[in-house]
Amino acid sequence: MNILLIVLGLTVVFTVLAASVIAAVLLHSKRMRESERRFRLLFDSVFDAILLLDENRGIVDANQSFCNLVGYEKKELLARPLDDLVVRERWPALREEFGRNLTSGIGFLGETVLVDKSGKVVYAELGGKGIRLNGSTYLLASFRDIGRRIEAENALRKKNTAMSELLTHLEEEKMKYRLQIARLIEETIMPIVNRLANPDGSLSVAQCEALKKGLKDLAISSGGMVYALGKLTPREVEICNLLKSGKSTKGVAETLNLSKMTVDKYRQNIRRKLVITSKEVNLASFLKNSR
Amino acid sequence: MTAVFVLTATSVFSALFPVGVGIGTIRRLKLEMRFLVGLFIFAALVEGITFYQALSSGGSHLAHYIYAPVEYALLIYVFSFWQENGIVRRAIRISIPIYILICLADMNMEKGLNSLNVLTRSLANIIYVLVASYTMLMLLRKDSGSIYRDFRFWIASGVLLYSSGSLAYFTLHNLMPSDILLVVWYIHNGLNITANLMYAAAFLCQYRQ
Repeated sequence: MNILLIVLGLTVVFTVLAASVIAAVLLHSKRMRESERRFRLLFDSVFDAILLLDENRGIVDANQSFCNLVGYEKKELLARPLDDLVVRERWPALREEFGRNLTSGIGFLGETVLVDKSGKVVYAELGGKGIRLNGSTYLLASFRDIGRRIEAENALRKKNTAMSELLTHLEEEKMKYRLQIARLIEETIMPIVNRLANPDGSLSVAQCEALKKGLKDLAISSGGMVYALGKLTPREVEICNLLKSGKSTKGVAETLNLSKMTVDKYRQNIRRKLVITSKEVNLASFLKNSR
Repeated sequence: MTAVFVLTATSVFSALFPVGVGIGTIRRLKLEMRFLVGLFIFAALVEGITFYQALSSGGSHLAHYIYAPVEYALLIYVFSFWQENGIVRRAIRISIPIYILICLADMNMEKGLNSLNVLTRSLANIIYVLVASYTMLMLLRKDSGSIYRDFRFWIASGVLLYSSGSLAYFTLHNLMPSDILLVVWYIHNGLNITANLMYAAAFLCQYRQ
């Protein structure tokens, strides 16, 4: 009976021990599975695209964001070299960075250009760091899509170019006006000034009047028009705008419910204030040509 | 007696589970798993022979004496495949010829083939428990939550459960009167059936991989 108890006891104890070991292993594995699921959820939910690469830059693991970025299924990416996904001319520099990083273990940041499944170019900001896992060296690389930023930068660059062209054009215009003023002074003012003094030393009234007119013309041609327009009454400005839009005197009179004679009177005042002395100059044409 | 017969018969026929699944999946099995299929075919044959001998109440334990070194050589060789540590792998492989020498010496002892080879079976069971436990720990270290899908886990579990449960049976076999032996025999057969199911599960796991 004693030997039965010993053998039975030993058998049961050993069996229970073995079963406990197996159960403990399975329980531990279950916890690992839950932990792995949690980690996988985090890994796949982050916005940044993350890759784990081996020493030959083969893709060991990729998160969902990376799959979305390049348009490949995860199983298509695994064991594939990253070289396939990088624009060729960008690759040598990147490979050098990877190699340096794997040996030094210092992280790096940069920009790269990937090619997605459809062949479309994807601009990405890249961060990498060498890590040790189970005795092997891996490279952890994270990518962030900067396509929108690059697009905005390009648009801004285009606008800058346009703005620069506009400024150059303005400078040219300014120079043209300066030359025009200089020519006007040379051709109109200087001859009058030269004839201004009479032989007895007094000033010629006629020449003074001519000088006054010449200076007014000059003021108007070099931007004085704005000043002259500023002297018009609101009604006169209204009539100017109607004339500029192509309306005749009759049309203006009908629009403003005035008599034709009144409009004519307004026109004379405007001409006087804008110093349009020549009868050959049409007021409507003058207003249209002036800025 | 009927219960003993049914249980023993079930235990013997359970050896056909791993054989059937192993042969059915052999095309997709790894080399070491094919060795195991060979081992289980051999084990089923030995089970059949010993069952027939038990029914006809005759014969020697020759089958057991042949089975023990063959089982050890194949099983330990398969376990050595899975070891990542080179020293452990070499030590396990070196133990094979040593064990075979011990078996040969045991066969030539005075008691001859009329009594069960308790020394070599007990020694083998102790080594199986140690190797299976070590393998299990190694698998656990690398586990990422899917150990139950690993065929090595099922083989190691089957070996660990059967060997530890049978240790006392084999060690104290010659000391036990036959009526006591019968009681322990129930447990031994139960463990044998469980282990065979685990081995079959291992083949299925490898097939799915």
